Amino acid sequence: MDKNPESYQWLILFILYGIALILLSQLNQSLATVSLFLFVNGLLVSFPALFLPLGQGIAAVFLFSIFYDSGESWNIGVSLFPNLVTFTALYYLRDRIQYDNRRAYKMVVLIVNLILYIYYTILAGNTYGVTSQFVFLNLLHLLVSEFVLFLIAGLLISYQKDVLRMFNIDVDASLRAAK
Amino acid sequence: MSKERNQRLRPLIALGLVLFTWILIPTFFKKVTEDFFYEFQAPSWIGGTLVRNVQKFWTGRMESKKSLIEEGRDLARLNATLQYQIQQQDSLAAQVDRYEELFNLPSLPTYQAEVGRIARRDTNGWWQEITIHKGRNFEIPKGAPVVYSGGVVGKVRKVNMTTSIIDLITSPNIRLAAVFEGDKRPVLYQGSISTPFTPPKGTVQNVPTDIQISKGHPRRLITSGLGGVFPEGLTIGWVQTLEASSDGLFQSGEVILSDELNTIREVAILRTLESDG
Amino acid sequence: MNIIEIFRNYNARLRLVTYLLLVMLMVLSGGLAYRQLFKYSEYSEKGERQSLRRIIVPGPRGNIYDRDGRLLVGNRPRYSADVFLNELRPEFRAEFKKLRDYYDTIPEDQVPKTGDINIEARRNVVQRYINQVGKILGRSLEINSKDIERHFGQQLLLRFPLINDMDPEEYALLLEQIPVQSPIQIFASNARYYPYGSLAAHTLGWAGNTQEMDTENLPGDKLMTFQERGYEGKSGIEKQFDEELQGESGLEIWVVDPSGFQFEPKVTNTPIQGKDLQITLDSELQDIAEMALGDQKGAAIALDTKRGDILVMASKPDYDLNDLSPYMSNAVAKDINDRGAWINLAFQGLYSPGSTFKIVTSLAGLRNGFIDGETMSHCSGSYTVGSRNFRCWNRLGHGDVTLHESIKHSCNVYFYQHGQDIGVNYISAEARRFHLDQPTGVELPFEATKMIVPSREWKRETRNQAWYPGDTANFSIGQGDLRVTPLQMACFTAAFARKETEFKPTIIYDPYRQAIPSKRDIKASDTDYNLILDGMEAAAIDGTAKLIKVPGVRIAAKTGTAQVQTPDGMRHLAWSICFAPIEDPEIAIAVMIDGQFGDSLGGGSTSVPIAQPILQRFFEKMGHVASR
Repeated sequence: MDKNPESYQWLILFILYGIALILLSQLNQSLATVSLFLFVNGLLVSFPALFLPLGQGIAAVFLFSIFYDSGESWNIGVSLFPNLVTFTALYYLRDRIQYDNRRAYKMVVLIVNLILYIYYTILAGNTYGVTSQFVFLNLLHLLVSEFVLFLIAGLLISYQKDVLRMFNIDVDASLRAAK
Repeated sequence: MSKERNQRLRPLIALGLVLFTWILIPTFFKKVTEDFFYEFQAPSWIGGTLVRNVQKFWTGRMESKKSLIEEGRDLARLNATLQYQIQQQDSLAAQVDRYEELFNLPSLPTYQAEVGRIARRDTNGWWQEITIHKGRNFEIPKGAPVVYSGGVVGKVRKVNMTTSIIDLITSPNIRLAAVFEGDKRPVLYQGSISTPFTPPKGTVQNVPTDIQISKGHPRRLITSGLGGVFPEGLTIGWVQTLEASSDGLFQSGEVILSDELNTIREVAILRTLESDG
Repeated sequence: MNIIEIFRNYNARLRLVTYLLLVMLMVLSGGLAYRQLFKYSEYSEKGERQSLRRIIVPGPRGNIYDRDGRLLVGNRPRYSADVFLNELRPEFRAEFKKLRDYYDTIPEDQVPKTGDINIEARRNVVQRYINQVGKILGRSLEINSKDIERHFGQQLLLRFPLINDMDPEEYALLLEQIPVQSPIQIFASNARYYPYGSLAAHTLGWAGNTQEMDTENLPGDKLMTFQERGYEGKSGIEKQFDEELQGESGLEIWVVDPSGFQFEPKVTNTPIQGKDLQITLDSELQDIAEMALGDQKGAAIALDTKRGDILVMASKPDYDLNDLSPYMSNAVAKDINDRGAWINLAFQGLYSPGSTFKIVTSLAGLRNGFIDGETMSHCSGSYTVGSRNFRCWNRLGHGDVTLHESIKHSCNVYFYQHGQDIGVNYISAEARRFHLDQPTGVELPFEATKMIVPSREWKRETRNQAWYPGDTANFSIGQGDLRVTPLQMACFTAAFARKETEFKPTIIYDPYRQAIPSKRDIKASDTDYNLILDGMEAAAIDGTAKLIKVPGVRIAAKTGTAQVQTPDGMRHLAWSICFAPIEDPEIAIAVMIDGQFGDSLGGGSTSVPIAQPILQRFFEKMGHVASR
């Protein structure tokens, strides 16, 4: 068995994301009383794409996507396609972003979150039909989610790095070395 | 050069491989995986409800003895009233039984309520559903009506091992045969997505043109009991205005649902009991 | 090295090929540009024709109300469960594949043709959905393959009904138990609805399925068009005012794929309900009249003598209009045919008016100086004209009678005798003066036009026979060849009440219509007019029409009993006409009962009791009489 912790980054992140999704669902439950909703999957797809090796990243995103789908009302695998495609696109782009440029990372997270939100909205629109309330509510939820991410995306990226660092994994150092 | 190209193609190949493999995996395994992950998450939601209960308990502990005594007294009064109503209910039920026997009528369906705590609430732009902490382990039937003290909550859409997912009446997936209180003709109720800071809403359609609603006197929309799912007479919501369609055939309008739908913690799932007659 | 240098380095042959290619490219581009710029509209229209389909949705018909605003004809919801066959296309394909796989396993000679497998696949899929509906409703429903194929071939874009005209309970069951996302759609359309069933059935008429709808003003007239069937009036008011009642058709234009399956709506116009109509009938009086008529064959008409409004127009036998909506079944059609219930006897039935016609004979005699108040006759129960003996209804005879008594007791001998003096020409002219030879022109379709006011000329022309004194005797008491409709007699009564010679009835209600002043063109002296009037009043007090009495109201009435000789035997027609109040007439009524063979009917005993409750209720409503 491989004792190198770097080989288990995917697992650490998957567990972290699982906990995050559970906590988020509790938060959303409280927000539901005022018909508000937070969506931050963009963050969970972006981090592995920007900071993890290809195989580790794909594994983390794959597991997180299935985990996410199992708790939602759509069929399992629905998230897999957009998450992996955005992951791959980001993976290509990551060399062009300076690893210590927090603002750029934040931007990436917001864009990915936007794309994923629109994807799910189109799916739901096909099921429910697109009414004015549907558009209004989704636009509002998207804006709220993007605003919240804008405020805390940087913090959460650092937090993910810190969690990995607890397991002696320094993603910044790995990236620096790769460059 | 070719190594570099291979290096560049690697993410694409990986993406293709993963997606291809996923497509090839038999549906059965996907379903098992889904159930596994779902049941893995479920305890955390149920745990969440426990945490909220503990929170409520500690909030209660903060109350002064005086206010607790007052609340206790109120509850005792309420209890007495309910006891009296139960007695009335029993005598009415006996009367109904007598009439059924006398006129050789089929027995009215009787329901047994299974109370469930709400473990998760998904009322976003995509879904209008709640998850309760009882599932197959409590023999919750799929399609069962779900109610609370204020009326209809929704219908059980999916039953898992320890949880059940309920489509709320705000969901466009919910369609009911409703009637206006005091009228017998069925009209169509369908959920429509709620927007923030406003009461939840639905729509009512195919309303006969002679049903009138005067300004300032909303009419209660109740379940008809004709659809075979919901018992008769449960409140769905209130209709304030009706608008005639241009073809003059029917009217339609907005149904204002209770605000409590967003905050209720417990619901009752109604199980139909087998008729003994 | 730039591109020109490269080109220069080519050899001559290669350059030639290049030039040729360039020329061809230019021709191609030119052609394309020509088509795009100059032929664009032609091509775009052609493209649209191929890719767009138009669906016409009929607008619901307008409602019909009575004079008090009660709904007489409306639209009721008609619930159906439908599927769009084009939405089931993937399922058809999957089923076809399944069937083909199955047929691969059996001997080749037992394998049906591909077309037949397709039909079977479509049937199986639709049957599955029907079974789903049947299971919920607890019914066993079967689908006909031919219906699916006809719909698939001709009406692909329209809904295919799995079950039609469900009752509200069934509708409710499907609403709750069919998932929202299911291809089965619960649809509410409309059908004509008659809240009072058979009330005024003939007058209101019925509406049947439209064959062709007017689509002239709707866009997309060049597109391939599918029409959902609407309704058009077939009789009565529904037919006469079809244009007003007819709704404005709605329209949907769909973009379709090359196989004709719709995939995107382009234009959607909601249909608009037709105009409402308020008619002059008083449903309460109409109901009373129909109840009074009961199972007897006959008609009753009540007219507002001041405004011309038709208050009652009842005809029996009738039929429940709801049985004809949304469509008429063969069984219903046969039943109505067998009972002879299609005819509106009020204005389609031609009958001898019997003694009610004596008013016309009297007027002819008075106005032309042949009789007056003193003119007497002795009734011994019969009167001989030529070699023929004509009987009075009272076999014992009325004794000596004046005009007053002869009207009061409806003595035939008086009119046999003085009818000979007056002569056919004057009686016939008088009847024509009251327009009894013409239809009334009421705004309803199919009014009888072949009424007969006989005359010497008429008999010569139609029968090539001379007119005999016996003909005059019959004519003077409203029998013989004289034929009129009950509506004509009601109009005659109203006209007489108004001292006019013509009364134009109307069925369209106008709340602002004022009382029409009398033209007073009856051209009879007050003395002559009052002579008849007094006779009629006496008839209503203690004469043949004494059962008409309404306390506190002065009524003028006349009864009549005509015999109709048919090859099967003799049958009676019982008539009564009346108007009231005498001092300022407001209502005129005519009732006719067509008896069966062997019945012994009399105007006073059979017909008057039908007019009485109408009159009674009318005056109760007017406040002239206290309600019972």
